[in-house]
Amino acid sequence: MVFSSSTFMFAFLPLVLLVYFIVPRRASKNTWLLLASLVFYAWGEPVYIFLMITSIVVNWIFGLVLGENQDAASRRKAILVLATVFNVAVIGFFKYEGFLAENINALVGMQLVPNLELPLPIGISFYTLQALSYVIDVYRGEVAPQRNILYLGMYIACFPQLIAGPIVRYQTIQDQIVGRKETLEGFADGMRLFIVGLAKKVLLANTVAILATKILSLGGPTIGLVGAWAGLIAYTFQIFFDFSGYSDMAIGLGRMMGFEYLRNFNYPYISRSITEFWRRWHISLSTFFRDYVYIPLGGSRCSKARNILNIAIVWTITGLWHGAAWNYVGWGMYYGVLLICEKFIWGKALAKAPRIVGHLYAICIFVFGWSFFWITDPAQLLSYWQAMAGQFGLTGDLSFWELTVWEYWPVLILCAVASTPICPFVKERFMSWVEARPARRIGEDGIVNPRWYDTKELATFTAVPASHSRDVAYQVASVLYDIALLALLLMSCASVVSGSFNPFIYFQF
Amino acid sequence: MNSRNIIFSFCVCVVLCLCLGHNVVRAVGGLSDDSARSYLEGRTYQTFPELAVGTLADGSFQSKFEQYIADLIPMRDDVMLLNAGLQRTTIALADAPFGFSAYPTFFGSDYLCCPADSAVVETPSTQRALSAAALEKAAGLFAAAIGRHDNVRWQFALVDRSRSSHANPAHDLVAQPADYQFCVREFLDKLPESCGKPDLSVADADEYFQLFYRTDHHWKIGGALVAYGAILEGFGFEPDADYQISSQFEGPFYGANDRGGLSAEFSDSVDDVSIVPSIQKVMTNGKERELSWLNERFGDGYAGYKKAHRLCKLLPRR
Repeated sequence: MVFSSSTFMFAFLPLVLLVYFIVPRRASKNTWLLLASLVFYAWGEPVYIFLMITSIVVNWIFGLVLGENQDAASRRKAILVLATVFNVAVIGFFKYEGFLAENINALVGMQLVPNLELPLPIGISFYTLQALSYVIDVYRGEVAPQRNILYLGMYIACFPQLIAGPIVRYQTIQDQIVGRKETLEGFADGMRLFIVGLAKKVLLANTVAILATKILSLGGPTIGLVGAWAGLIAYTFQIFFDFSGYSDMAIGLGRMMGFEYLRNFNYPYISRSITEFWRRWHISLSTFFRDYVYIPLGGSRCSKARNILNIAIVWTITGLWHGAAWNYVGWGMYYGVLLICEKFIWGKALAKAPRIVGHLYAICIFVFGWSFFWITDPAQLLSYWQAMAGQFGLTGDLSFWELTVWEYWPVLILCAVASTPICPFVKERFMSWVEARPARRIGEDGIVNPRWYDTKELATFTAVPASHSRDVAYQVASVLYDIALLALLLMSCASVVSGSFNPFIYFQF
Repeated sequence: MNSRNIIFSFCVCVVLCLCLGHNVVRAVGGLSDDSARSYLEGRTYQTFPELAVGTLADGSFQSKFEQYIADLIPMRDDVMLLNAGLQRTTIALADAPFGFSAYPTFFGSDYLCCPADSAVVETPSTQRALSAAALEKAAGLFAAAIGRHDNVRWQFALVDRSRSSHANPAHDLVAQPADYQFCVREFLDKLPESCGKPDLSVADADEYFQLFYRTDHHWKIGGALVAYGAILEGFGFEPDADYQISSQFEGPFYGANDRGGLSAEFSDSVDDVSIVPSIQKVMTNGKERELSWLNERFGDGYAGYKKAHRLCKLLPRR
């Protein structure tokens, strides 16, 4: 089940929230949330639900065993290795078996390993990392083992972040499992953030996806230079608004039920370097690999050569995590090389360069990088790059009208504007006036600071007015803000419903 | 602050509970039969799907349930029209600097809105989709059939319909249209000389919309009569029956292009033909018939069909 489906929005969510707020105690709320999450998962993966339950049970046992062996260091290490092997084996088998079989067989020139062509269990990349982070944190003594399997199950399977993240670490919400507090303000603000995320996904990402998908399906010689660049730019916005929209919805849903998740996207497209880009893009993944792979490998507190190796390992794994194909590995290594270069070669020069240079540099790199990510077939990728270089003319085999690129320019402009922190900037200016205080600048805490992970201020509109006249302006603005959000919700709902449009087959004849 | 949060939360909950609420109202019989049917899609709404282990495991329950929930949205057809209308407004805005004569009715639509002609037409076929080789192959098959029945007189009337017509407002916007001339060259010209090929090409949009609906891919009864006359002439007959075209129903008639393109901007009226009695009796299959029988039988059944299948909203003749 996905958030932007009729089933989720008009059946699952109302029902889950209704029961959640009716049942009285924390234990029953948590149990209901676990049950709902299992239904949510089973809806799309009826068979793989057993895999998830197995993962929950096994990691719960690992946590307990680690907790009961506080003083036996070698045994604890062995348990951690076992837990890591188990989790890596689960994701390795279900996600990478086909990829490995294909490559090993190609290497040896015979069918040595059978390709089982297993369908990928939805969300396995996310919930496996969450489970792994729990066991590692218990090993490190940073969190106490969870004795209640239902609570651990609720953490691993919790439906808001189950299929598309963010990767919520156990230490982030361990206190909230029992001690969270649902409030009217939290519910309303969570709903506001959910609507913002839904609109990003449904109104922006899904719209530009139509262009991106069409352009990709036509191929380089057909689309020419204009089509290739427009398609890649459309995909650049599609992936951002799709992914960050899901994250916003997840964080919003969590907040409605009293959870405070950390930020996952922080305006990555305004970055001035690739290092900054990865501090703003999929933050929960990059911090996971930083804390659980890069730093344990030695991080940067080692020789230069070892540091380069560490970065290369982390980014190869990052690439592979995104998908079982060589293009993802290449994409990860592309960023690994760039990050190494920024760290050791041109990073300082880039920091001193005019801001516009940094922005253009980062934009060129991540836009081009998405071509690796998007196009899995090497021949198709090469042809696409040729089109981007103008080898097939301006519009390829098509007329400019047929390319349909022109239809999307208002949406692409809207996407470009929505990729910048213009909304928090305007909000901060207004709120500082209402509260008669100096406005925080862009980059300060809460205002697109890449190291600020708190989500409390996202999509909220709350201030303490300094005077009566400012209070009136604030009240009017807050009502208009809510009306705008309701309009976005209605437009998103209309778009979701329109997704079920099935033209009568007779019409085709 | 609290009251603002209460009102906002209430409004959101109302929107999210629309389906379930609508279902309750429908269940207690508060809605008419029409509410269980999509006019745009020409289908009855999905009923609650069969819940069983098998249907859950193969995912058919889930996909039907998704359709079921989407179908529960009150005024679903209007919601879809509104959504497409918003997209069309955006596309019209995008079109403003370019001034194209046709633009899609929504993002990704195969149907085009042509404001200057008050029409919704299909996107022209291209030679990439309809290749010369495919047409040549089809011509070969027809030629073989004609060759096997050389005692029969053949007429092949290639209709100049929306997708291939030169009169389609988007014809000149496409790089390689598979237009009527292309089809004549690659298909009709490859049929044997013995086969008659009446020319049904249309000169321009004005003529086209006299013969075809503005919001449907079918020809009007007038278009059918023109083709009928051309075929008769090809066989050496002189069509001498006088006829009169009149509006059979009061509009609006929203054609298949409107429904497929989710547009209600333009509509048509449905014409009928009645044969003026220069003749009183006709012979069909050896039986003598009254003229009224002929009119009933060969009047425009299209409107009746559409009405019978509830595909269009037509008002009865005054």
